[in-house]
Parts: sequence; structure tokens; C-alpha cells
Amino acid sequence: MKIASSLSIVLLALAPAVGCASGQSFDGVVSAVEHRYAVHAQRVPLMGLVSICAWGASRGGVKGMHVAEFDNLTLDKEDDLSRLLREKLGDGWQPFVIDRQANGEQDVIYVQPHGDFMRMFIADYSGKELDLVRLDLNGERLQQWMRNPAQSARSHNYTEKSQQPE
Amino acid sequence: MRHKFAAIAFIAAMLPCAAARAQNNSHFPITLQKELTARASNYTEVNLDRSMLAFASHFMDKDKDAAARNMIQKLNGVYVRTYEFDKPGQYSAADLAAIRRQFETTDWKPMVRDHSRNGSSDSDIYMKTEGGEILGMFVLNAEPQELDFVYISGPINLDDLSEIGGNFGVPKLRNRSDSATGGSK
Repeated sequence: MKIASSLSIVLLALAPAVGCASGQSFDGVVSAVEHRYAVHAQRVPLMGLVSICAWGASRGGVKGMHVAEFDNLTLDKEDDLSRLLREKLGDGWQPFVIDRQANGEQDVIYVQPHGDFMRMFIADYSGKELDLVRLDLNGERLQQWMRNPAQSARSHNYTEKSQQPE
Repeated sequence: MRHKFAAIAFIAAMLPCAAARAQNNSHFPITLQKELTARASNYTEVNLDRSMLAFASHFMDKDKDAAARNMIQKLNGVYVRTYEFDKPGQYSAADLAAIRRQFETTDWKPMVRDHSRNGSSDSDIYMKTEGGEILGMFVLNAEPQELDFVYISGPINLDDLSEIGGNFGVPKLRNRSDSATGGSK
């Protein structure tokens, strides 16, 4: 019991440090949006802990999660989220998906290979709301996790109905 | 011994950077992208370089999608651009001719040219061949209010090509029998 509580404290203490390096690029983009559009980001409290939980739940498939949300943000047609991400993320990041709709909606995903992980930076703008998400995905571990529904069900306590494949 | 270990560690750390730089060489080659993007009302761009294709292949079924997995693991990249316009006339015949000219070289050969008389739909497929092997493919589809480009870089087995249709933004390919029975695009 003592070991478990010690481990929890260590994990909590390490969470910000682990997320620090990956958080720099994220903070840079968030800060750029805040300055350019004079808005404040809403952050999810204890995101480091959430990230660790996601890492555990996905069997190491997801890590380094950061989320920020901007409400009441109006982007003009000339406002290009892709360009903003390209400028702030810098070299090494490549555009994966860029989607701009006539109604002003924009979806942008930038990626950066990083060892066994694929770093992803996602920006989604629709209905005056901008969501920024940054995470690292391990394809192999995610695949193992998705292909093992029984194990997944045990760890997530799904209902009998939701276990049925569609 | 310590220096040797440090040197190996340094080289190992640098390898991903070198690989990333090498991957950047196979970029989407089409000119006029900026101009078309500015004129389009809806615009979609999908870029899958070698690392992204390797990542995407993890999510394909090892047995069911074996042919597609085998093919994409050899590719350098798959690049898709879709431009939708509010009204006809947002791109000109000269724009299309300029794009086609990029593939009228000794390396590239036009394999399919399907141009309607009234200009309602033009399709072109170009192949890059070397020593009898297909090393690239470019598909251009032009409709009055839509332009689609698909560029595949790397060795392509035509038998496996249909397998990646419907994945990664590449349109699902249909054969003549599908077309005759009104199969989906």
C-alpha cells in the first residue's frame, strides 16, 4: 500500500517534467493564438495526470497529451491555421491533413515522427471554437490495444452491449 | 570503449533526423497550388510521407489488407489535393495545361486521357516508369467546380493499386463493370 502511494506521488511529480519537452511547442502555439487574437485559452486541469491515465489505458499507445480550448474566437477567411502551426512548430513538423471549408471551418493536423511514436498536433476550428490537441501516438501499441477487445473490456468495464462489434 | 559507445549513441540519435530530411525530398510536385487554394471555397490536403504511411499501416488488417499493407510499405508518399469552387471558371484550361506539362517529360508517360467534349469532366493518369517498373503515378481529375490531384511516389504494383483506393484520401477505383451497373465513385 505504501509502495502504491509512493508510486502515485512519484508519477504525479514526474507528470509535468515528462510533458515539459513536448509542452514547449504546444505552449508556443497556444501563446501565438492568444497574442494574435487577444483571447485566453481554457486549459484542462491536471492534464499531466490525464495523460498518464491515457498512457496506461491505451497500453502505452498514447502519451504527452495537451489540450487547450478557445471560445468565441472569430477567424477570417484570410486566417490560416496551417500557416500559424507551420511557423510556430518549426522544422521537423509536416502537414498531414489540411481542410478548409467555405463556412470558415478549418481542420489541421501536423505530424512529426519521433522514434516509435508519431507526434501529432491537431487544430480544429468550427463554430467560433478552436481546439488545440497535442499527443504522441505509438501505432504498434495502439493497434495491439484495439485488436484485443477482451483485454480492453476488462480494463474499461464496458457494458455487455458496447462490447459487441458493429 | 566509452568513446565508441558514445559515438554509436550519437549516430543512433542522428539517424531519425537524416531519415526525416530524406523523406522531405519526395514532396508534392504540382505548381499553382497557392493560386488554386486561394480561389477554392473548400480545400483538402492530405500528405502521407514514408513515416506516415508506415504509421498508417499499423491500423490496417494484417490478413484482409495484406496487399495494401505490402504496397504502402514500399511507397515514398501519397499526396492528395481536392479543390472545390463556388462557381465554374475558377481555373482555366491554361492552368490545367501547365500542370499537365509538368508530367510531359521523358520519365513520365500519359497512360489515360479521358476528356469530355463539353469539358464537364477531364481525367488524366500519368505514370513514371524506369526499367519497366512503375515508380510513380499522378491522377488529375477536373470538373467545372472541382479539381482533384493524387500523386503517389514509389514503386507501384498495378494489381495492388486498387487495394489502396478508399484509403488515405485516394478515391476508390472502379472497373468498367462497376461503372456500367452504376457503381459508386
